[in-house]
Amino acid sequence: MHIKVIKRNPKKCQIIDSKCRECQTPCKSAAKTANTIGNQVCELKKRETRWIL
Amino acid sequence: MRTQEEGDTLDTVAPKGIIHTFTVNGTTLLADTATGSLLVLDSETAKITKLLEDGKSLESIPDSSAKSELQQLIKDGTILSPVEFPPPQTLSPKSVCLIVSHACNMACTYCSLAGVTGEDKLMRPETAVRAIDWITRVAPGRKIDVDFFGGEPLLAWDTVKAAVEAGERLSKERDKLIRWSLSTNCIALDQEKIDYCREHFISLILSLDGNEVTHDLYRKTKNGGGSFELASRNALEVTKNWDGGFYVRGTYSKKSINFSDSVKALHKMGFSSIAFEPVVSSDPEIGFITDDLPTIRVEYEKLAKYYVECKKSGNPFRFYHFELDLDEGPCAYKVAGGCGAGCEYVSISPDGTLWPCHQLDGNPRFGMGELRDTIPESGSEKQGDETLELDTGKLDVAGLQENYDKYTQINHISNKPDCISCWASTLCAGGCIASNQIIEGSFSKIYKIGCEIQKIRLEVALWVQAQLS
Repeated sequence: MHIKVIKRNPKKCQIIDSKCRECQTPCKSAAKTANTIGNQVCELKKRETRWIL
Repeated sequence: MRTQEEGDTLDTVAPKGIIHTFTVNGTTLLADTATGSLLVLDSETAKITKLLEDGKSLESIPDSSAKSELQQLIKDGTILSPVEFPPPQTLSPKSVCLIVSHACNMACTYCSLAGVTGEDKLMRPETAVRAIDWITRVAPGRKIDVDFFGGEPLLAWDTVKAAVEAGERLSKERDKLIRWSLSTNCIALDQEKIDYCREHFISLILSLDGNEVTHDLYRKTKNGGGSFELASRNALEVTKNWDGGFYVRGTYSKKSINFSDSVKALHKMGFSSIAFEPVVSSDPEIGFITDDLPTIRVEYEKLAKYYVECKKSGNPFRFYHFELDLDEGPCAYKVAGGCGAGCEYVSISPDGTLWPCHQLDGNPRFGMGELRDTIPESGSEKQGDETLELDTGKLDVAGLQENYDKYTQINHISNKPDCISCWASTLCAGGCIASNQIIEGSFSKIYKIGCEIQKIRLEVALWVQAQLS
């Protein structure tokens, strides 16, 4: 084997048409860090909590 | 996968930026921008994918078992699918940075707000309540994020409490969920404030830059002394009774470029959630240049090894930039929409003026409007649908909507030419437009060093994913 698949098509599992815009703004999500959306989780998929961090 | 015109031989060609082959800590990986797929490659396969990235067609590459494996992954859609970003949506704010204090009890020498914090102005509780009233009216969805920022927000503690109490009342009335955060230098963080924040679910962002020597490089008290001892002691109090709800947020700069040691030091002190950011500065004594990038890469790679070791040995901690979530990430609209500054996210300064981002606070070119402290004289304001009535003030809604629309366009990835064909676009969303403006002088001109650092840490974060899979 030449290739090990770590993740296969994860973006296909994402809700691509929700347009709900409930997600956090990326700068907000961890302490005024610069823009990175890769480590955000879709709000429709995560457990609701009152903590933002 | 792009194909040639009908009638020609079909060639498998990788559009620019669709795949990215890179090596971290001796492991070669391939990330696919569109599908999110992540592969570990041997050297033979990496040579082929590099050729694909250089524009060669797969068919032009000699047959081999590695090529056959790649062909199978292309055939089943694991790699080489096109990216299609959706068009901009109509957006309005749902996230507010309340700069409740321009005053600060410290004098950090790298402070991005040093130009405005000298005013020593605090936000009045009435202004904060008005801001909460406003955001709970205009936020399109249920969830609202409010961050207390400064200066040092704890210097305006009565304003913080007034905002939280108004928010708790108004969110019930208007079926909203407000999630609070507060960024503090920890100097005035006493037990009463810690308890209040925990009771009211105010997440704390604790500014610490590492061990004593590193922290005290820039984080000075008013008399020029170090602040580490007091700040770290107060910050550690938070860790005693909280099981989440805080992050230590550090900044590294040219003089503290060995930030992997800083993160390790904070973890060993007992902090379990850490975020570290490069300073944004054009000052050559503080900010980074291209020559610094190899050292920054080494630091992220060292930190990643430590992070993985800690995870595997049962002593884990959160490092924000390594916590990619490839499976549950945001939707394509979110990715295409960028950071949201000026449309989904606004900051409000102590006098009630709205800005597209906290980093642009006080820059007269970018004021968006204001939550006024007094009722304007009759006839001096637009009336009817274009004016939002607040408890004691009025806001020019039509003017604001023009700003939201403008910043929605500025943020959208289709208006960032450097990003549209970048492999990192679906993980980064196009960078920080305020940094672009501050360093490069234009929202649409990518802040080059920030972009390069972003790509380095994304590569390293993907390596972490592979190690922990």
